[in-house]
Amino acid sequence: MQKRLFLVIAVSLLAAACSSGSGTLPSDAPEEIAYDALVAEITTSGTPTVVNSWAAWCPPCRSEAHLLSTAAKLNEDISFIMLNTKDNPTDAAEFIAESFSDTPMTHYADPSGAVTFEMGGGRGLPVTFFYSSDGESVHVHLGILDEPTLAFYLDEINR
Amino acid sequence: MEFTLLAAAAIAVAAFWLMLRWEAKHGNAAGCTLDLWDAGLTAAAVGLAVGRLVAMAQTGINPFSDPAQIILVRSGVSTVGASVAALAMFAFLARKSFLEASDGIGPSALAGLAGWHIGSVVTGSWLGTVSTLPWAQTAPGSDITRHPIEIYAAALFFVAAFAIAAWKQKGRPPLGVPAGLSLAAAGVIRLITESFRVSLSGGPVLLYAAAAIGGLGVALWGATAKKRQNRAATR
Repeated sequence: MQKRLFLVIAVSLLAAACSSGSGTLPSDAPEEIAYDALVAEITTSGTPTVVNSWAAWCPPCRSEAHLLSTAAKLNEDISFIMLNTKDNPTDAAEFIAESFSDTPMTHYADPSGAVTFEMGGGRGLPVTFFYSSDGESVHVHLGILDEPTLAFYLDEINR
Repeated sequence: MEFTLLAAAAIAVAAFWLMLRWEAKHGNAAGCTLDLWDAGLTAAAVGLAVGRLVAMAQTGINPFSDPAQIILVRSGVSTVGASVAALAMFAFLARKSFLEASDGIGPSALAGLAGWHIGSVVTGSWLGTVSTLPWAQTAPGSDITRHPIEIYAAALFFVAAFAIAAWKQKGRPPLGVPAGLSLAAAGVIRLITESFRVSLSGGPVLLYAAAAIGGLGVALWGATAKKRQNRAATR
């Protein structure tokens, strides 16, 4: 009897541990977006757009966050879309609160990485996509951004 | 993995080495006991590491909790931190014959900077503000013509390096003057070329201005040293 009781308690605890957190996203986690919806947003916005695919577990993504945040604050005429890719929603929400709290950016999630792949990324993170105001892809930057490169392509899409 | 920065660094080191070799054949840094190649590379490595640490601190990344991020050089190196640390490290290494060593390494350091700017063509960030000049270049897939600023910088640094080196060999300038002129040239060239760069921050203009003024001050001090000595002797 004691063995059965112990087994029931153990299974219940295991089930509780496995289910805790799953299915309930943090309220400030970025919302999931489909490829078509993202393309529609870029093409209809009428403004130049930068899309950055990132993840909280990716050190280069964390490292370039400050640069992107500064650029977004300095260029309010350019839309900055941060696409959180293949990430844990809780970690993503924490990093957004920590690094982008007062930054004019839009945040979306791409849990499977399919959106980043369809846009031309998919070979590792971070990836940054630059679009002109008519939605035309101007440049895809694979890997970490430095300030001259970011400033240069912001100038390219803003003309 | 990106290797373009490594390629740029390799070009810079090669240019530095070639200039040192060329100058050594003409009796560079006579009276200096320091190995300039060793000191130059050590100062550059220390400058790079400190510059990266300063950049991490400025962007809110804790080097103790995220030590691996120090190798992410591409995400930012503080020019001010790197320059000050490199100069301080060189001053420490060359403390026994500072002026001789500084005169000896000045043109080679300028050549190394020229190599770095050539390397920036490899990294892809070599174009600046919009230009309609005949030699303006476009980025791949773009029709916007721009100043090739890294070519400007490389050319100016090479000209300055060779001019100072040639003057050292023929004119035998007073101690400290080649070092001062090299520092001033670095500041002036960066002030000129950075004005063509598309930038988010505007660049460390004050550092370049300080280098130009400080370098000219050192050169002037060196040029008038003999006069001062003579005046002191006649008193």
